[in-house]
Amino acid sequence: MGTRWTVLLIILSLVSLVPLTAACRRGEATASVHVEVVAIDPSPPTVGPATVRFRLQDSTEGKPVVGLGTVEVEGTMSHAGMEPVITTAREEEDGVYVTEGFAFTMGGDWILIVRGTWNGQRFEARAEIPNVRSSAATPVHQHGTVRP
Amino acid sequence: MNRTTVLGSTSHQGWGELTQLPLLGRVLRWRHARTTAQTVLLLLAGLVLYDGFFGPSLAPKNLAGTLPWVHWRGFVVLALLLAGNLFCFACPFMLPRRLAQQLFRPTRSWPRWLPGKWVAVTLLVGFFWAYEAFDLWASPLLTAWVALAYFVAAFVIDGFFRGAAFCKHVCPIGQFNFVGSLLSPTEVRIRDASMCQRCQTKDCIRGRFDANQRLVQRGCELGLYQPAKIGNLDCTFCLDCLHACPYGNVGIRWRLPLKAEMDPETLRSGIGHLHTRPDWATLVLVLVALGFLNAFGMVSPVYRFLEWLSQTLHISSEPALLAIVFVGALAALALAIGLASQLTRVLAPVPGPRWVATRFVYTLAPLGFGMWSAHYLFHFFTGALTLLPLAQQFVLDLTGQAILGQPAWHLASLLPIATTTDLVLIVLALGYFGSLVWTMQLAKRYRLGLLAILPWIGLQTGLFVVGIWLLGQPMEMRGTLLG
Repeated sequence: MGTRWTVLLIILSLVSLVPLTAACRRGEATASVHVEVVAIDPSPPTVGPATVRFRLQDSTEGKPVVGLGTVEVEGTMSHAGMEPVITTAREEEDGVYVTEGFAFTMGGDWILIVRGTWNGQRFEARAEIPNVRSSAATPVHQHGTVRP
Repeated sequence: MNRTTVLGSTSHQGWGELTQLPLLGRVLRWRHARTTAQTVLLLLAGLVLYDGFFGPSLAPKNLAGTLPWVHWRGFVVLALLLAGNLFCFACPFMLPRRLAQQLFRPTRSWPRWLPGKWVAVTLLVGFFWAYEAFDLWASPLLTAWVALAYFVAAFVIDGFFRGAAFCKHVCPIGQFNFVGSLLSPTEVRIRDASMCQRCQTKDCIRGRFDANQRLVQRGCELGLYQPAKIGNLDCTFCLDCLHACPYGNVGIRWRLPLKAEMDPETLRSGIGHLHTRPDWATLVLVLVALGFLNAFGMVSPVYRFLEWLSQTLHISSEPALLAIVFVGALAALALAIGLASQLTRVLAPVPGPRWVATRFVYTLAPLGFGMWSAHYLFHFFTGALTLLPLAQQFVLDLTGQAILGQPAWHLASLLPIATTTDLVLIVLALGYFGSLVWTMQLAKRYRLGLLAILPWIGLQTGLFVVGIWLLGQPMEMRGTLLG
C-alpha cells in the first residue's frame, strides 16, 4: 500500500474515532435536581396560556426540593431559533411548583427548563412536554410512528 | 454555433463591477480571499462538529442545532438573493478536498455511467427524506455526523477523481446554490470579448503554468470556459478564472437576475443546452417539490395528513409514510408538468409534450427558490439573535466564567413576527413573478400565444397559492427531544 493511501487511512480512522469520544457533554452536568411534570392545564396541552405543575426532587435521594420560593422556568422547543417563553414558578406545596404567566406559543414538542439555586449551588433541570397541539383538532403524534 | 456569436453575446460594456469597487474589489481580487473566507467557515464548522459531538443534546442550546439550521441556511438564501453564490465561494469542505488533491494528485475522470447531476439529485432526495424522518434539525449529534460525512466525502471523492467532481456531480448544497444563483444579481463574467478572441493560452480554463510547466493557478475545474459561460449555473464563484486570466479580463459583474439564463437552447460552456439535459430538468423539478415538502413538514396539517395516510395504507412507520409522501409529491409535480406540457402541445403547434417540458420546466425554478427562501428566511428572522445567548453559554461552559455576560435566552427574533411574515410572502411572490416572467419570455422566444402558456401559468399560480397557504399555517415543531 502506498504512503498516500496509508495517510488517507490514518486520517479517516482519526476522523471516525473523534465522535466516539463524545461521552462528556457540555452544559449537561448540573443534574443535582430532577424535574417531573405533574399536570398541565389545559390537558392535552394546546397552544395558548397554560399552567404547568411540576415536582422538583433531589436527583440522588429522590427527596422533594422545598423552600426555594420561586424558580426560573424556560419553555423552549425541539427546533432551534424559536423565541423561548421565560417566566417563573412559585412553590405551591412541598416540592411542587406552579408556573405563572406561562404560554405555549406554538404547537409541537416542548422542553421545560427549570433553573434555581439549591444548597448554595445553581441547578438546571429539564423535562419534556411532547405533543402540544396547535388546536384541539390536531392529532396527537408519537415520534417515529403514526397512529392509524 | 461558432465562437464569434458566443463571444458577441457575452460581451457587456458599461455594467457595474464588484471587482472594481474600491475596497471590496481589492479584497475579491486578492489571491487568498477565498482561502481566508473558507478558513472562517471551517472554524465555524469546527465549532458545529465540536458542539454536535460534545455539546447539549437539546438543539436550541447547541451550536450544531442552531448555526446550520437557522443561521447558515438564512445567510445562504440572503447571499444568493442579494449578492451571489458566496457560500460556494467560502465553502469549508473545499479545504480538506484541496489537501486530498495535493496528497493523491488524482488523474481519474468522473465515471461516465454517473453523468451530470443524477448522483446529486439522489442525494438531495435522500437527505431531505432523512431530515424529516430522523428530525435532523432537532438532533445536534446527527447534524454533526452529516457535517463530518460531508468533509469525508469531499476529501475522498476529490482525492480520487480529478477536477471538481464533488462540486459538479455530488454536492447537494452546491446544486441548491447553482439553481438559487439563477436569481442572483451578480455573475462572474468577462469584460471584453475581443480580448478572449485574441487570447492564445486560455488560462481561464486550462490554468496558468510557470516556465517549468508547474501549475501555479488553476483554471475553472468545473469546465466553464469564460467566453462561452452563460449565467451562474455550475459556477462556484471560486474566482480561479479571475486569477488565471493574464489580462485581468474577468470580473464579478452586476446583472439583472434571470436575464441571461432564460433561453434553454443557448449553448452553455460546461453544461451544453439545458433542453437536452434531463438531469438538470430533474434537479429543478426535485428542488421545487422539496421546497414545498420541506415547508409542509413544519406545519400543523402534516400530522392530520400523515394520520389519514396511515389509516388508509395501514402503515404506522413514520419513515415509511414519509417516503411515500416524498415519492408521491415528486410524482405529482412530474405529472403536473407532463399535463401542462400536453396541454401546451394541444393549444399550440409545438413538436410535442417532451419538447415543451424540457424547455418550460426551468420556469418553475424561481418559484421553487422563492419557497425555499421564504421558509429559511422565516427561521432566520425569527431566530437570528439566538446566536448571542448560545455564544454566551458556550463560553460560560468552557471557561466557567461569564466573559460574554450571562446567557440572554430571551433574545431570538431579529424582526417582529408580523414584519417577518410580510417579508417572506414578498420573497415568495418575487419567485412567482420570476417564474411568470420566464414563462412569458419563452412564449416570446417560441412565438407562442398566451393561451399556449396558460397551463404553465396555472401550474405556477397553483404552487404559489399552496406556498401562501403553507406560510399561513400554524407551525408545529415535533422531533427528537432530550436524546
